[in-house]
Amino acid sequence: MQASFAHALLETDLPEVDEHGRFNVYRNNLRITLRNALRTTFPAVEKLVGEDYFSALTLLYVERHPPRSPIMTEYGHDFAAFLSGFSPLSDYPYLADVARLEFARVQAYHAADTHNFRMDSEASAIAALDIRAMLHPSVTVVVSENPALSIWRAQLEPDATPLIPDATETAIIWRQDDLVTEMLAHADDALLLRHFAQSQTFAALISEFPDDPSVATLIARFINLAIAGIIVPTHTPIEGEMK
Amino acid sequence: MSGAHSTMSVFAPNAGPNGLPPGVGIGLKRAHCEALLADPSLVDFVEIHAENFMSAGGPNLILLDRIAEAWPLSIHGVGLSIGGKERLDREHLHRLRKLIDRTSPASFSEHLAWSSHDGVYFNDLLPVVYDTPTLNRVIVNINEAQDFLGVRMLLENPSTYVAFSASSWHEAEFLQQIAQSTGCGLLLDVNNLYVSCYNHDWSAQDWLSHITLDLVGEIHVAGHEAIQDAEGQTLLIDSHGDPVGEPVFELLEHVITRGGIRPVLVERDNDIPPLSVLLQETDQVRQIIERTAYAAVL
Amino acid sequence: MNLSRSAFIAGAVATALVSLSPSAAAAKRPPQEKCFGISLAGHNDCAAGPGTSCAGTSKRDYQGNAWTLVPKGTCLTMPSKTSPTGHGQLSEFKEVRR
Repeated sequence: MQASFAHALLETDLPEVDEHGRFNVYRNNLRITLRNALRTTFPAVEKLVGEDYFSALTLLYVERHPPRSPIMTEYGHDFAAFLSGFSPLSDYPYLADVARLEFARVQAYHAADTHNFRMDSEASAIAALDIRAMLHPSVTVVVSENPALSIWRAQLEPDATPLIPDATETAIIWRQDDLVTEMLAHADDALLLRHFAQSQTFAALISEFPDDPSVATLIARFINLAIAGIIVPTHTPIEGEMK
Repeated sequence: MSGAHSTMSVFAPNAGPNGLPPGVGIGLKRAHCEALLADPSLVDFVEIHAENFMSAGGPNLILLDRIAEAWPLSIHGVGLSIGGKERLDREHLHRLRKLIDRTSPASFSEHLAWSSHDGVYFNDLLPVVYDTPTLNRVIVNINEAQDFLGVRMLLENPSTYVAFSASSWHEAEFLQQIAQSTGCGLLLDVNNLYVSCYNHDWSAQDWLSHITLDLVGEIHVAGHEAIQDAEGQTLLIDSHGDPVGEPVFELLEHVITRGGIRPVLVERDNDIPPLSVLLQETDQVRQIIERTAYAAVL
Repeated sequence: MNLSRSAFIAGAVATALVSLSPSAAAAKRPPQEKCFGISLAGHNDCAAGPGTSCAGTSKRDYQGNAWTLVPKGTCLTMPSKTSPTGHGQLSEFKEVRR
């Protein structure tokens, strides 16, 4: 009974299940509540394609990729992949990246807490270079062959700087002081973001080229990312040592 | 505003049967959080949906702690799928236990419904067949949930739009049997009761005569809307998007006149109005409680 | 390798810290429009969604089919590498039946 009920819920093009059409209330409700959940998570994608299109798009997505978890903030994890593979939207390749960015923002809001590096003196900054560190649990890096971050921002601020069509953008999304934040990655950040995807020390990164002039740039970027709370110590610091 | 509510002191100050105070609560919405936290005395307790607070960290949990600090808390789950054909989702039970351990809620409740099947989560409270195999499965699931979570739970009666010909039990007897077998209490949603009675042509009085009202640890009131089905007949939908209807208030008064005062929650999940509008509804509930209390004294 | 003993490293750290004004570390935040806030409304409810009805037995009833509709949002004015004008185009596409 439950299996056929569940099957019928996901099929749209079914004949009437019951004579009063009351089963359709369940079929309809499933789609409406899930569309609303996606609308909450992907407001810029909705703005980009328009309300009607978003409705039609999410209907397809809901039927093909129904939720696997009862936590609705996790729904839509593969919406970006779905958009990439949806041929009618192939003229808008940035849509998937905007979706990735929006999903990352919701995940960042709910991600675990950690401690930040203290960077208020030269001594503490130098010490941090030898401490095992990782990316904050809220961090997502969205590498886009399009100006995805700028396009997303333009949905917020219609008068934003004109977009450069050929730009590629790598965006870092994370939670800073309880606010979800996003910024363009610096050219030298890619190496650091890759390195700290696993628990590592900064020292390990430069052990093979300690005297290279690029080290100074990397140190500056490391300090920037650590102050922003993007790179954080792996272990909870000893009381009084770091905040 | 809070002064008008001091009349609550005429009622028993002790906690209700399941830990919630026998007053009036509100389903907490983000839009109203700060206003309510600024004056917690506006309501006697609040209810949150468990699944909205299952974050690993961040501001959501900070807000949760403030809520749990301010009021007796009712945690209301919508995703456990207690009426499902499959075993309960262990991962979800773990998440619930974490939430319960963190907040020590006055009450935990879930629904007589299913929402997951074969790994898919349908994000809806779907109707169960009232037959003996389902009854036994629900009993196993509730026993498991209560054991795992370490709390006695309340089970809510559903609003339904279809009934199954395979059902051999009366809905109320089904709930009563579950409560007796598992020791769980009941969350009587009088809006759901009204909606289901209307849709299936049941009698609410008859329905209520099949349950022991002492088992009821909390009452929900909410709004519903009327639509037309394919045959042109009116169907009531549990929309939670409208003010509580007069017949639902009447049913509430009937229930507490018969069974005594209970914690009553005003639920609104869609088309959320300003807080003041919801507080008018909690005031209406208070008036009903007061009327009933004085009638009992006289 | 203990970097704290390296004079070169110490110099690089000092330079990096000097170049940081107190606010430079904080990334520029766009203004938070209400609708773009993080899902503060919460996602999980126990009610029927607004507009739930008995209608909706075919895709036609649900605001159209994404295989045949065309986007009508702001994407029409966004630059796109794939279109010769630099803007998204309303390309004619054939309905694809899987």
